[in-house]
Amino acid sequence: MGEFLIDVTTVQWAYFGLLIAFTICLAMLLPLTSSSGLKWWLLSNLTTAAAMPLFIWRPIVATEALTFLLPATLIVSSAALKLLAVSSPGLRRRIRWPLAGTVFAFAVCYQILDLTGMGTQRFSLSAGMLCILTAAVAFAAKYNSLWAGLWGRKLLIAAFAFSSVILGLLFLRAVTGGMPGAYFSPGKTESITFALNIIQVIVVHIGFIALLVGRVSKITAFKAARQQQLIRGRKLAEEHSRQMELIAQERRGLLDLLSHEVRQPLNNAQAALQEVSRTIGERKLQDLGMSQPVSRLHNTIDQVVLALSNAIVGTSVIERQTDQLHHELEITAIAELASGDCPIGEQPRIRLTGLTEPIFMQGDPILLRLAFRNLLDNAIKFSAPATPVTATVRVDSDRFGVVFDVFNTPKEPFHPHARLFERAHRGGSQSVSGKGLGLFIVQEVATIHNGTASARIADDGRTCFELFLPL
Amino acid sequence: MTETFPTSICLVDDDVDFVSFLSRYLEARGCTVMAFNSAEAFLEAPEALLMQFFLVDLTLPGADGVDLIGMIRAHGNAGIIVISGRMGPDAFSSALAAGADMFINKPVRFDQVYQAILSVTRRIGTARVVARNWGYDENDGSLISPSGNNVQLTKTERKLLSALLKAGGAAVDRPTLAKAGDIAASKDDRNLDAAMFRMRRRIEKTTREAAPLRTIHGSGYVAAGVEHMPRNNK
Repeated sequence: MGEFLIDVTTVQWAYFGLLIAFTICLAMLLPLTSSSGLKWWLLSNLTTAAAMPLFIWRPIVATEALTFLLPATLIVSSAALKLLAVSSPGLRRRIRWPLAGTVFAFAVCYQILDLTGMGTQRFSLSAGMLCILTAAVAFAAKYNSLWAGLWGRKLLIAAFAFSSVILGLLFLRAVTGGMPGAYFSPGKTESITFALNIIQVIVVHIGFIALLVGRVSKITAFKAARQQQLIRGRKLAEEHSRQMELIAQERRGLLDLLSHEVRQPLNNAQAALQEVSRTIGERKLQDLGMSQPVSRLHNTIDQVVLALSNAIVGTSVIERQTDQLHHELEITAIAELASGDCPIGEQPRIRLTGLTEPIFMQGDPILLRLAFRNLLDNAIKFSAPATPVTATVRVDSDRFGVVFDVFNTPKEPFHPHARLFERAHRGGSQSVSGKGLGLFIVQEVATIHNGTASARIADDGRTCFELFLPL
Repeated sequence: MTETFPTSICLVDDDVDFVSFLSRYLEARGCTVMAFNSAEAFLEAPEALLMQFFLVDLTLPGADGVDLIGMIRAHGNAGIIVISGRMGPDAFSSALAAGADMFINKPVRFDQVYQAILSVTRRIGTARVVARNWGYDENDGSLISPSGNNVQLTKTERKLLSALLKAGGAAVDRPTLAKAGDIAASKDDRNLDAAMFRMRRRIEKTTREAAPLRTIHGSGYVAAGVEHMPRNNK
């Protein structure tokens, strides 16, 4: 039997102190990282630290079961906790309960061996178990992708691999009966083994701290890069916003141009034409053969005005109207205006009814006038020649609202369907020109006023388009 | 010309051709027309304020049309129609807020202008009473319009209006209002909506003015611009 090179108890306390010191250092890193591996590692260290006094104060020759079982189980548990600490989160979730079962199985086997007086086999068991667990720690560290590229990982793997080899040799020696059956026993070889163990603890902790610091640095660098990316993104968004505002300004400029530079002259042309018609008189115009050309000119201006209004409203006014309906309007007056907007040549066909009493509502007079005008225009376009177009404004007491419906006799069979009110839908008729904006605008105006637009075939077989607006 | 059509009309618009043609059209209808191409020109002619009806453009050189409308409205209660090429919501909002009775966007035909004047005149009369608010007399349950027309409210309507006025211009939700009006609960508060709808229609039919009640869609109702004369305070 050899002698201790160093006093065993001193070495054990040194080992204990070292563990506590590293544990404190690691605990100070807790606020810097959210790594759950660090928590498992600290738990492992504390478990080993708890085992140390039991080793130190245990009698030289002990026979009580707990004297050996508890510290040996704590040491094996500590190795299992190290394995959890270095595993990736996914692996950790998968192995934690099997590991707990393994530790429990170890304790049971150890106790059986202890009770049967097989002290050497008992030590072989713990050395073998530690050898396997330590090797597993080295592998888990190697395959933890979160630590890829961090230099501390190599140190950690090397230290655990080395420790595993030492434990393997101890196991072999114990199996072949060359050991007294405990870690801390007198002897040169045991002392060297224990010294190596202390070095391993130091190297492992240096490696683990290097890993943590590397990981924190990596995350910090990633956050900084993401921050830069966000700043770049924000700058791009601001630039995009500026460009959009420029485009919007250009569009507003174009709309102003359409409103003032085009609509105004049209207004004057219409006024002049009316003045000419009024001054000359209808009868004289007919005598001169000018009645039809004047009527056509009126119609042309009316159509251009409608197309322009639809284009302007379709692209701008509707988009920014939804929260600005704060004005009372009288709906029958709007209906009269819309009827008056229709081409003069078609006006004898239009019969506007239901204007006996004022109907007030909250809304946008410009949009409603345009919606009514589009419904009338639609009815005129798609009705058989010389047939009447009847528009009615009525209060709907069942739905608590006002209804503007337009009836006409279609020149082609009419099949109502929801797509009629979609943008650019042209009702299926090839004989009618248009951009398909009219009914879309009707639908949009209805929506803005919390109402509905619909089409149906009336009881008398005529087509009916209805705009319902709640009061 | 019908008896409700005004006999004198003031036209303020910087579009010389339009003013010229429309003036001749209105004169041919028997009206006296005073036309101005700017707000400044209008202000230099104090007698213009005595006209019965005003047609005003919003975009004027110098002083803005909205300011001009405010000034005309402050002076009297003549009908005011805005005829403007501006289409944005701000245009009619500001015009109506300043006191205009109607907003018509250009282009517009003369017969439409004529119809619009008729419509406004029918609604407000040629000599509108100076009163900006509605009044509710809780003692006899009558609601008096800004023009002085009186509507006698039913028992339920009185309860509803009192609850709305108690809120001081804030919206009252449907369940609270139904409870205040002793209206039986129904699916989607339909009974309450029907009662409110009938009250509004009756007020508007009788007074020919917009009822001071607003629907807050998906929420409730609000009463605005009503002076409350509580019980025993007559």
